[in-house]
Amino acid sequence: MIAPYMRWTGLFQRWDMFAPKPILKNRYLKAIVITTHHHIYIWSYPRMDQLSFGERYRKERYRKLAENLTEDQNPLLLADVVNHIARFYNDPNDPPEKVILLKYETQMTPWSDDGNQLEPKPEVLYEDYIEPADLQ
Amino acid sequence: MILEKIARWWDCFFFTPESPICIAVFRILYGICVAVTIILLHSDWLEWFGTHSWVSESTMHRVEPGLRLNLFGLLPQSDRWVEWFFWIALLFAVLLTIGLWTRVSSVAVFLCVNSLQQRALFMTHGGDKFLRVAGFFLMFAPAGALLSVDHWIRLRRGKTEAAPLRAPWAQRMIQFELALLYFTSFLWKLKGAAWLDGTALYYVFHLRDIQRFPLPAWIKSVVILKIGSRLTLALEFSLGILIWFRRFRYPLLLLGLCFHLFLEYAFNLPMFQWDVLAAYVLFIDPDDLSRVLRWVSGRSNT
Repeated sequence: MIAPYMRWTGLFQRWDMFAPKPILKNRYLKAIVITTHHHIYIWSYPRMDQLSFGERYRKERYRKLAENLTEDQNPLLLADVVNHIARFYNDPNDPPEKVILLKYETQMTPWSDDGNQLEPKPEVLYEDYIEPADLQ
Repeated sequence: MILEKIARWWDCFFFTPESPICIAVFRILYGICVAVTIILLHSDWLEWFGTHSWVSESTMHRVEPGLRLNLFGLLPQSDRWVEWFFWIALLFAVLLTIGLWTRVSSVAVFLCVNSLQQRALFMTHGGDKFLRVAGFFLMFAPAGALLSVDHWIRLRRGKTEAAPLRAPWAQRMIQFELALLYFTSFLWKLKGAAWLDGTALYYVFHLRDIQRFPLPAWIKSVVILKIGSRLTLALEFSLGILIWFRRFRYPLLLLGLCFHLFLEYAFNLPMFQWDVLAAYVLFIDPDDLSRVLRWVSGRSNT
């Protein structure tokens, strides 16, 4: 009953960081961008472990977005993200035609590894064709 | 009889006037936290809030439907306006920090913080949420009654006393908010086996994306992580419940301070710890805080 008012005022809240269970997988994202002339580009989503200390403090929001993208797998959000990546390669002579968003995951096994031993295999998180309107 | 007692306690707890020194110091810390958060976002401002952002405004509305207090919905669809929004939000955060036009500034800061989060919900963390909710109650608090340009101006005009007293109900609501943060975190963690069997911290310490500075190997040993998982539960429970008992308060605040400083060192969660720690000052007795401030200002004068 009060939820709409809480949402409107910004008083809605949920304190579930690392709960009820923490994130069990290490993961990162990459995208394959295919243009109309069949050029292929690989785009890497910012990875915190590959940034400098200062940069990762500023760019942490990318980690949070990636966490929400991979946990929720909401197609509306993923479509927006794919369109955004396509705009990085918006060459009018060779516009992007398709973007495939890949996730690389490794499951952590408590007490037996450092969470980073297996070579992660790519999995398609989302793929979509890019319309001219998506690039506007 | 009992109801009468409860009513008296309620009245005393929320409305007995006391020095607004705690909420004034909190206002300064809160303003700094908001300003730094906004500055940290600046390099990617248009990526998050611009017309070609990662998640568009229309998608936000579709994924998270419902009416929301979001100034971005009122702005013309132009990156220039979005850039102006940054400077306006920063300006009001600075005004709130120094305590100039405090009431207006606190309303403006809340509107900006709320709008930024409603616009880009999927990249916000717990610290942002706390800023948003605390900002709501700060609007109603006598945050500019001390340590502010407003107070200084009123004193010069002879319109206020040097040490005013105010009802602390809004401050109490922020205190409740902080206690609620810890207690609900504790309850959420109880729902999962990982925190009870002690494996939770293994996952947290091996999550590459949130690591910050290097830690000694012994911290990641089985014994330490298992003990740490349970201690986290105990501390969150204590900071949610036991903090309300005077005899436990200062030791718990000290433990909480050490806990958050460790998290700040170990994990890359920008401003989260500082956002939460800023509210610790609200649990300090106003007389004790005044003594500390007098001691600090005495030392700086000498």
